[in-house]
Amino acid sequence: MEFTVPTLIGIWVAAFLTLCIFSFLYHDNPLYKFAEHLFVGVSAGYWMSTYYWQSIRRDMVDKIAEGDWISIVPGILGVLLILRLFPKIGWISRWPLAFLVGISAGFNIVYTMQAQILKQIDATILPLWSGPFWNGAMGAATWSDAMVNWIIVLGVFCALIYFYFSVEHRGPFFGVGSRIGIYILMISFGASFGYTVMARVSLLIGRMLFFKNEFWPAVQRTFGMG
Amino acid sequence: MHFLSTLDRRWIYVLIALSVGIPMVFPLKVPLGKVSAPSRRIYEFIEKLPPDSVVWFGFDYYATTRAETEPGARAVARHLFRKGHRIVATSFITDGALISQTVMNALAKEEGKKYGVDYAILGYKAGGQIALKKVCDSIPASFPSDVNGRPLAELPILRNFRKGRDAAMAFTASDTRMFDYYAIVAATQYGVPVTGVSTAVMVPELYPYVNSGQILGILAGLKGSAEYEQMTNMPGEATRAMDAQSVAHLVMVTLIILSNIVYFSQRPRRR
Repeated sequence: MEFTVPTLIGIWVAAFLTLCIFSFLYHDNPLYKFAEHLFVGVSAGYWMSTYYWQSIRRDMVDKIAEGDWISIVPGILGVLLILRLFPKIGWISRWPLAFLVGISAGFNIVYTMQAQILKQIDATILPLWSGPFWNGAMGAATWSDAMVNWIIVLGVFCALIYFYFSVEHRGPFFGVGSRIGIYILMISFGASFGYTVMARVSLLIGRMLFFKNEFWPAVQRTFGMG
Repeated sequence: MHFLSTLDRRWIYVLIALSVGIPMVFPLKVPLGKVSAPSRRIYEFIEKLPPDSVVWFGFDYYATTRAETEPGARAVARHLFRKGHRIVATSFITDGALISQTVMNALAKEEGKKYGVDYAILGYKAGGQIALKKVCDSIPASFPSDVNGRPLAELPILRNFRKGRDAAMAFTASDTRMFDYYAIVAATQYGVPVTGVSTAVMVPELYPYVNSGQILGILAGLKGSAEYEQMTNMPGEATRAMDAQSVAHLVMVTLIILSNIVYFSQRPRRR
């Protein structure tokens, strides 16, 4: 790794701030608060700058300068949205908000239906048998595939029964079905928890690798060791 | 064992820190195991891509999850470069504008690739899934210039690649709902083969899309990235991190079992 003076300063600051944040694990303290506030401030500054240069400037200011006057419309809607801050004329901000809600709802209805309902239903209509009699689309390639398909179909069916509240969950159909549905949900929660643990440990590993691969060589470079 | 029920939680933090730190200093070389099918599908798809394909590469993660998403993004981008494909990087997350420059420029330098010819960085576009749809329809309408304000007409890579939907593959490194949007818009509506790396937390929510074929393949967090590094024979950060991950998981499982034993042994018995 090439160590220039700005790089060295950056690594030292990053290491200090990481330790400040980790210090919260012992208990709340001013160093943690300092790092937390700095993070919020720097993030806000970075976001503002990015929004301006990559969005407002590029998508509106430059286009208007080229004579594309229609690009001023989103800018006006944005200004109207900020009018919320003024109580007397705050009601005007409902117009751009209504525009946003309308666009999002229209967009999502189409895509949700297509991608999250129809496609997902399609993905649960699966061949449940295998063997010479069940050829082509009617049959699964192997018996183990057929078994997996059974688990998916029954899992979806029982989970749906669990969320069907118009009938009391009793008896061999609704009672047993909703019970299996609960187990299916529990298994999915377990998988989610496992993945969450993996994710959090990964983030810790990331910071530890930073200390090992970047900070320690920077310390050696700073003090002329090695 | 009853001391466990009153144990200060800070001892657990110390234990986890040690379980992550020690394997980094003394590597155990724990085997990774079988490569999962969703990871393998990405590798096989890239191997079969026609030469000189253009891949749409989304840097859609915040700096806070770099440790988890970036190794996978690097591994796939490096694989694409080595196979002679070209990359157009976009971002629908503010942080991605900066991250894409850091990652792509460093990688291009290592692989000897030229900006504008082998890769381009278009920067950030606000608007989430609506912006994504616009990129599918027209890149120049969505990004009038690249991340540094250079007009797209000056970039040879974008002369024949005008629509996101024409990409040979879309890959997103994501820690937000953008991954869903790629599946919902780019894959379902436009038929673009969508792949990506996500944080492990998001993976259970994304698997239904993998099952339905809307997502072609997915690298599940650091583990998926390590699998990819293994397949491409390019061990990197993810591979080095897997020892620590394995030991930390072992410690977590042990703690869960112990705490359950303590809980059930202390629970009042029914009469």
